[in-house]
Formats: sequence, C-alpha cells, structure tokens
Amino acid sequence: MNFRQYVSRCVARMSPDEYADAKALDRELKQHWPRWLGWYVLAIGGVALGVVLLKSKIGWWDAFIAANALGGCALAFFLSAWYGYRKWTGAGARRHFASFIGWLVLGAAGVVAIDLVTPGPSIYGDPERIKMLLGVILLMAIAAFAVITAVATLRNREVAQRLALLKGEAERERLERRTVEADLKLLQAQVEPHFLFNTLANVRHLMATGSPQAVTLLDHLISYLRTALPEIRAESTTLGREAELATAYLEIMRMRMGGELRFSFDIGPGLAGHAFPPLILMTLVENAVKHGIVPRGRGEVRVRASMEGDRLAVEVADDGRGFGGALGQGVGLANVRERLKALYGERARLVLESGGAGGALARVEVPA
Amino acid sequence: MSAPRAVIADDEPLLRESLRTALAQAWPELEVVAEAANGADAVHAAREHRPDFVFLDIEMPVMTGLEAAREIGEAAHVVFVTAYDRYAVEAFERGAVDYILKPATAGRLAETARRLRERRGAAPAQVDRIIDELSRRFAPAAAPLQWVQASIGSTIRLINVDDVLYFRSDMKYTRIVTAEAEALVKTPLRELCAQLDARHFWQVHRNTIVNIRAIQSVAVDGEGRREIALRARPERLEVSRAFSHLFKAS
Repeated sequence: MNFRQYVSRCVARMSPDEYADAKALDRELKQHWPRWLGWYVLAIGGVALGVVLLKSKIGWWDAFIAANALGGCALAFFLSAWYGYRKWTGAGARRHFASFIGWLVLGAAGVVAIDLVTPGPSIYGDPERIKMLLGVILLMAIAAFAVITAVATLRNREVAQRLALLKGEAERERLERRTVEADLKLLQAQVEPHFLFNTLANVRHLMATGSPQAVTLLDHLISYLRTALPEIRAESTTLGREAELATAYLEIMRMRMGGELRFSFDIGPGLAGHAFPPLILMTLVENAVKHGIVPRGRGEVRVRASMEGDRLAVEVADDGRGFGGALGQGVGLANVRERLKALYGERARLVLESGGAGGALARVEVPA
Repeated sequence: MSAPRAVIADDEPLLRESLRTALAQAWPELEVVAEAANGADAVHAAREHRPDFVFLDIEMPVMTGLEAAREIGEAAHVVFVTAYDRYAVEAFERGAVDYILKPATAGRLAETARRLRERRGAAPAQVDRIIDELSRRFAPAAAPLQWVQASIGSTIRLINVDDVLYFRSDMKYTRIVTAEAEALVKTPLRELCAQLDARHFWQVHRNTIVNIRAIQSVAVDGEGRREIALRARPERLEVSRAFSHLFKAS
C-alpha cells in the first residue's frame, strides 16, 4: 500500500466534520504556507536561542536540532489533540494515554540501547544521568498530557456547540419542509371529492325535481370553488375573502342539511380588508360543522372577528357537542397550528375550548 | 313472493329523497319502508322492518355505514352508497358487494336494481372482511397524541402537546405545564407516556415526563444527580437514578 492509498483510506474513515476540518487546514496551508513557515522558523529560532542562553555549553547546531525535535514534538501533540480530540476525550482516552506513555518509555529505552551499543564512552552508563533522563521523560509526559487534555477538551466543547447549532438549523429546515407539506395536504383536503360529489348529488336532485334552489346551491358551489381553489397560492389573503369562502361553504352545508344549520358572521368594522392567512378560518368552520353540527343534525356556527390590542382575534363557536367526542388525530387543527407557527412564530396562537354550556370554541390570534 | 322492501340511510335529507325517487323509477315494485339519518338509526330500522335491502351511505355521523353494515350482518343485503372513494369502490368490486356512486345515474341504478332482484332470494354476501379492510383505512392509524383536553378553571381547553413543557402526576390527576399555564387532566401519567411521541417526550422520573425541546440544560452534581433546567420556567426537574442514563455526558 503506497502513501496515497493510505491517505485516501484515512480520508474515507473521517466523519463529515473531521473532513471539513481537514479540508480547511489543507486550504489554509496551500494559501498561506509562507506565513506558517515563517512562524515555524521564528518559533524554532526562539527555542534554539533559549536553549543556547540557558545551556551555554551547547553549540548552535545542537540547539537547532534540539529545538526542531522539541518543536516537532509540541506541534505533533498539538495537532493530534486538535484534530484527534475525540481520541483524547471520552471513553477511549485512557487507552490512548496508556499507549502514548508506553511509546515514550519504549523510545527512552531505545535511546539508552543505541547509546550502549555504539562505541565510545556512554553518556547514559551513569545512573545519575539515567535518573535525569527518566525525570525529563516524566515531565514531558505530564506536560504533553496537560496540553493534549486541555486542547482536546476545549475542542470537544466547541465542536459540540457547533453541532448543536447545525442541529438547530436542521430542525428549522425540517419545520419549513413540514409547512410546505402541510400546504400540500391542505390543497388536497380542500378539493375533497366527498364534499364535491355530495354537493353535486344535491344539485342534481334539486334540478331533477325542478326546484329553483338548484341554481342557488350551484351558485354557492361556484363561489366556494372560486375562492377555495386558487387560495393556496397566495401567502395571505384578507379576512373578508376568507369569510366569503366560509360563507359559501356554510350556505352549501345549510342547504344540504335541509336548513337545520344556522350561522352568523360578526366581523368588526374595517377588519374585512385585514390580511389573514388562507384556509385557516375555513378549517375551523369545517371542523365546527363536521364535528359539532352534523352529528346532532342541527346547530349554529358563529364567526366573530375583533381587534384586541395589537392582535386580530378570530373566533369560531358552535353549539354542538364540544370536544367531548372522539377528537380524531386533529390533523386539520395541527395543520392550522403549524401554518400559524411558520407564518408568525410565537406571535400567533390557536386556542381551543369547550365551554361549560357545551359547544366548542376555536380562537386564532395573529399579530395585527 | 311479496314486494321487496328497503331501508335508505343517508345523513343528508335531499340525498335520501333523491335515492328514493330514483329507486322508484328504476324499480317501481321496491317499497322503501324506512329512512334513517345515521348508522344507528339504520340498524334500528333494519331490525324493526326486516327489509330485504339496506342502502347505506358510508360517511354518516354517530355510526358510519361500515359499522352499521357489520351490525346488520346477514339480516339484509347491504348496498353501500358513497360519493367517491377509489379504495372503497375497488374493495366492493373485489368482494362482489353492491354499491351505488352518488350522484347515481338512472342507467347505473337500473343495473343495480337488476342485480339486486337476482340476489334477493340468496343469502346476503359476507361483507365482514371488506368492512374490516375499509374500517382500517377509514380509521386513522394510531399516531402519537397531538392534543390533550385539560381543564383550566371551568373551561376545557385543548392543549397541543408541543406546547407542554412537562407532565407531572399530581395525586390522581396529571398536571400539564406550559410556558403560560398549568392545567389538569384525568389521564394518568403512565397512560400519557404510552401515547406521547417518544422522540420528544422522555420520562425522567416516576412522576415526570419532560418535553426535551423545552430543556435548557441538565446539571450534574457531585453525586451524579441530574437536574433539568427549562427554558421557559424557573423550576428545576429532578431526574431520578433510573432515568439518569438518558442524560449521559459524552
């Protein structure tokens, strides 16, 4: 296996964030290598100067070699801790430090062995010197341990924060995607075949019996479809248009239920032109009819809109059986909630109550 | 053989009338003995009048047409009436169950009448299997709990579980805590735990389930006890030993 293969195997094993780190380092060195080389020479020169000043017996050449060795070691420690911080923290850290110290001891033994087999007077034959060598190794190990642990811990924390941030972004993205999906679902729900065909069946019957109401019902269906179909394409419509849509729906349902459905709209002065997200009022009205009125066969739906401080409040109340019955999965309501959240964040809310006197109340508040 | 008798069930009065007049044209000797506005009434009428045929709308309040058909069983031939449903129609075709699509055309109804005349003497078809299949499709799959009904004072409010910071058992009730309010539900914590989305709601103590999206931080003291701090509330939630593995520092 040549070097290139080895490197590509290492790269393949990297996690995405490690790969990003490596990429960044690569780019940095390619772009600014003279600067980093300069820093290295300066650092080595500084260390060599220090060694010469402290131990004047050592020549410049030896000092240069020693400084390179020390600097190289320090750099290796630092890089290992910086990029391999995962090895040095967490579960595997102890094993890594053990093997690190093992290699250190092995290296020292190697130096002594080489010294003993080479001809000439041995430097390390002297027990005092051996003791000193071991001391230096110990000190170096402690220093390396401290540096590696500190760097690795800091890095670990920093990367964890970065990952948390990325996760937050992913969460946000997921939410946005969900909103789009919710919109699509709404679109599908809007052109519900059951509603359409049942209404058409009613129209057909009225026509077959020659009832003048056929035209009225057809007109309501037309105005319902006119407002319902393109609705989703607009981010926001007006409360007035949404009320028209709800009215058309309620008129249709009233006729289909044989007149047993009553309804009223109370939209505060000047609020009809107020911006309001599409199909939210419609969903609430549909819910009131489907779950409140239809099961009883009759009832009343009241829609009320008013300004409350800096918020526009829209309420849909019915006198049906309240939320007592099976609530289903509340997909329609969950949809409304998600769309409100996507549009206004925490500044909008959906409140659902069933009053003591029975009936359900749904209330949407959006910033004015 | 006496005149064939039928019961018609649809929650919409005009559609009942429509089917009745259309049947009168397509099958003049058929006698409609009763009409029903929901599944329960249809079952009742079927027991009382012992008709040969029951025309059942599928989407009806109180009791759906499918449930009613199950109740009626082999007491009568069931004919489903539906506005539109691809799956239902497919299932009916496969199971040789009679059905009428709304709005029914005269031609289609005449065809149905012809088939029903032939069937009248025979035993009603076994519809159970098809009803089971369709009921599963109509009933939404068990999804995680989305809304809980809780009382705040005298009103009952629906609280979306995403807004709940934590649930805590409180005597025989469960206390629901959101950023702005606290409410009580009668459902025991154990039951809630089974219904909540386990990705977002973790039980951290015998008496506490926390919404992990509401957690600001988890503090560990010298003895390994963990305590949850929330973003929107000042109180701390204790994590008991049995659940402390959920918050392992990595």
